Amino acid sequence: MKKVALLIALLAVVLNTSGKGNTEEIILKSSIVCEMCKETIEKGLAYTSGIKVVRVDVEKNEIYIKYNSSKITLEKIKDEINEMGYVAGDQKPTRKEYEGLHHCCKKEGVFDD
Amino acid sequence: MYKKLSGTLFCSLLAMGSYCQTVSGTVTDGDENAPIPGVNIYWEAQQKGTTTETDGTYSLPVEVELPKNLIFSFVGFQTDTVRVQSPGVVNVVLQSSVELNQVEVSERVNAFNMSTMAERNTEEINRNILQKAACCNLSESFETSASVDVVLNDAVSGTRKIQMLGLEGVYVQNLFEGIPFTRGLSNVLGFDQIPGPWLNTIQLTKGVGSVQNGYESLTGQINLEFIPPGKEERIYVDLFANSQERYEANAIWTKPLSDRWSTVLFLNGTTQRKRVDRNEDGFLDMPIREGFHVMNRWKYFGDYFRSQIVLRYVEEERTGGQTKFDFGEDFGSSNAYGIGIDATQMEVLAKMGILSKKRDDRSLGLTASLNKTEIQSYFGNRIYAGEQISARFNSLLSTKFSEYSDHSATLGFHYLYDEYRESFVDSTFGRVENVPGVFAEYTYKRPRFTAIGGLRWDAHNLFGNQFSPRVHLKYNLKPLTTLRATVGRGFRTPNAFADQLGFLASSRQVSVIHSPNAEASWNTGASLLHKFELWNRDVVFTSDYYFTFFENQLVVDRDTDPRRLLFYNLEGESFAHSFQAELQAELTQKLGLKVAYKYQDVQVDYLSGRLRKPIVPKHRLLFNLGYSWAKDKWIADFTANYYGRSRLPQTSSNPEPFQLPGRSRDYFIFNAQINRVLGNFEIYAGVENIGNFIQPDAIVDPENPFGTNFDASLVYGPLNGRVFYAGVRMDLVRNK
Repeated sequence: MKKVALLIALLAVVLNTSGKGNTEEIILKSSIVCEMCKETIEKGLAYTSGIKVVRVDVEKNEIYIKYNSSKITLEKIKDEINEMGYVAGDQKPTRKEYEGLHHCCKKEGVFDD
Repeated sequence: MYKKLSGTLFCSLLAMGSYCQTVSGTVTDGDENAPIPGVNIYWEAQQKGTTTETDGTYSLPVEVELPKNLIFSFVGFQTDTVRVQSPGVVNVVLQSSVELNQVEVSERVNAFNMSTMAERNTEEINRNILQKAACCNLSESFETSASVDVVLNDAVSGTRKIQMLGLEGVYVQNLFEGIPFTRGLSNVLGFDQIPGPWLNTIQLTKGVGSVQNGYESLTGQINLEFIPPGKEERIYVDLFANSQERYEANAIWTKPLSDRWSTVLFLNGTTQRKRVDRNEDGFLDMPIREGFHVMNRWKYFGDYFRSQIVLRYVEEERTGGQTKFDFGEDFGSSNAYGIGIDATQMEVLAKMGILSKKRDDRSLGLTASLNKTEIQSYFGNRIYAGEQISARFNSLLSTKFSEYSDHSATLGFHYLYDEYRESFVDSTFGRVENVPGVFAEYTYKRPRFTAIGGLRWDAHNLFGNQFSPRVHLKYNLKPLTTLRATVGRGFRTPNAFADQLGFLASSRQVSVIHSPNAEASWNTGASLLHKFELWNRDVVFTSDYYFTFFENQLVVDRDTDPRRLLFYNLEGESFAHSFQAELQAELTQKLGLKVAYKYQDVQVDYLSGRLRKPIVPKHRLLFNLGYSWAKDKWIADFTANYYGRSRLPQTSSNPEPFQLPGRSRDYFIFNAQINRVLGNFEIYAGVENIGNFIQPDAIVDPENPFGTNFDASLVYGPLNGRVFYAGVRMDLVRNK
């Protein structure tokens, strides 16, 4: 009986951890303005190793990411989003990265000057 | 992740003069003349690239060997491909792309012609490719595509039909920029009625089409895009002549009339007057032919309203048969055998698109067309005449579920009216088709995965309720590796005579045993597209497999009795397996290679049992080499086609001298062409069928065309022999 319980517990742990490493989820506030931004971010991260799900909510200005923390770090994800010209939570893009955006995608207040 | 490569930064780091060549310039919007920031710019088949700055400017180092294609793409605009010859300034104007009812070919469409992003398995044949092979009408534009084979219907009329996935062209839906055309009686002329130089792009899609275009695509779709109007007034002239005294002249005049209005006028004249009988069987190898084609299109392009109207007129006259045949003297007698086909066609096509001002994902589209086709023909003493009036209306409403949703849907209402009046020898028949229908298509689109599900319900007055469900799936394993799958049903009304009019060139007695039912089939298939680099060269590999099986088919039987041509509804099975694998590679910067193999297994249950469909080869190979030098001023192209053996209809009950072998010969066809560009002019010359292969004994009993054994409809190969040709193209821009 104990063995079975142990086995079930083990199975539960194995099943809950999808694949090797830990799955983490995060919602990052960003600087999304329009459909183009959603497409750019989702496509830009679609093939990044370690990222399982990317969903941009334009109305809430949020990026939802589900990733494998042993394959990619949160820092790296934020860097990638910045490179596309968008804010990633607490991390802002550099001026140069931001300037690369289409004019409709530039959000006021990202750079205050 | 698209990494932005800062051109100037990279070059300043290296500080190596000649290596640090760059291409730079500005990208602007064709409608507003404003710069476009954020445009993706990358060298063909490479992932690295750059994007334009806020002022629309860009700078990209040349780390590749020139000349090479540079691609400019941005959401909402038509992708532009520029062939860059040398470093320097390349300014680009992008045109916005809101086209309705078209197969979406976005991003990464390059000279390799297969998009990794399009939802369906689409092969694109653009003007560069069309001009590498002998023009002249659309039937001749598929020479470098392994997906489409063009075959003669018979040995006397010169009319051709295409074959795709092992099945006849009538199962492929032809579209004029999304609007169905060239159907019904128009199939008699088929693609011969469309001059190649009028075309800008051909999109070949395998598998059932979208429910939005109608129910008649059973095995695929061929969408034709004609030369569009541009910002400048231009005249294109294309002249062609060959060693059999066939002459073609084309003129296309594009003219912008205002900011929003533009027009294009297309003209074509075709003539073949020389009587040629190379194989000396007493019959003309190709008919004497004259054709006149004219088309005029008017386009209005507003902010929220776009519309287009096209008027088209076709007139063709052909006379073939024995070399001694003279219509005035011999028609109606048995002195000499002749055939003639006179075709006239008038058509109006119109489309209108209304965009929502508040939501750019919402649009309403309307298309309508009206067509009148008349065919007058005779084969020996048998006369066939047909007249068709056709009217079609289609309306579509497209929207996303919410402004930023991954889900979208299109709903539509469709109506088709067809009136046929035909007569053959002393029988007349006709029918009226009244088909209202509704359809709905749902699309789920994510960066790597797209699923499209469509449902159609058509209430056919003759064949009852017809449902055509269709599913298309696309998955990007990697940015440049795409898997696609499709399944769906389609149906069409067969036309015993018009679908294969050339079969009347024989003494076979025609028996339509059953009143034809609608032909309906299910098609399913999967394809893989993979682009990669091998030894620093771009390579594209594609492979696909399709299976079609018919719920019902109007079986055309030339086997059960070699003296009869039987038509009956399928009792049993009829199916086709088609497998194709293709490799395209850039061997060197200037040398391109394409190799393709196709396997086809098509079988039908005839009255006499299950047999391979005749005249469909099991194996087919294509080999093509293209070489350009002196910065694309010279282009040479060589194609070798291999057609494997195919089954010939049974003739074992004929008297011995008129028996054909059970299988055809296999054969090669070699074509070569050379082009020279001189500013606005381009001259080209070439040879078709270099090996001079002519199908032996193409006509059964040519000495007695009025006897019972005569049959000129068992054609599997060329009748033309070696032909030399040359032509001139001019592209003249009118400067203000």
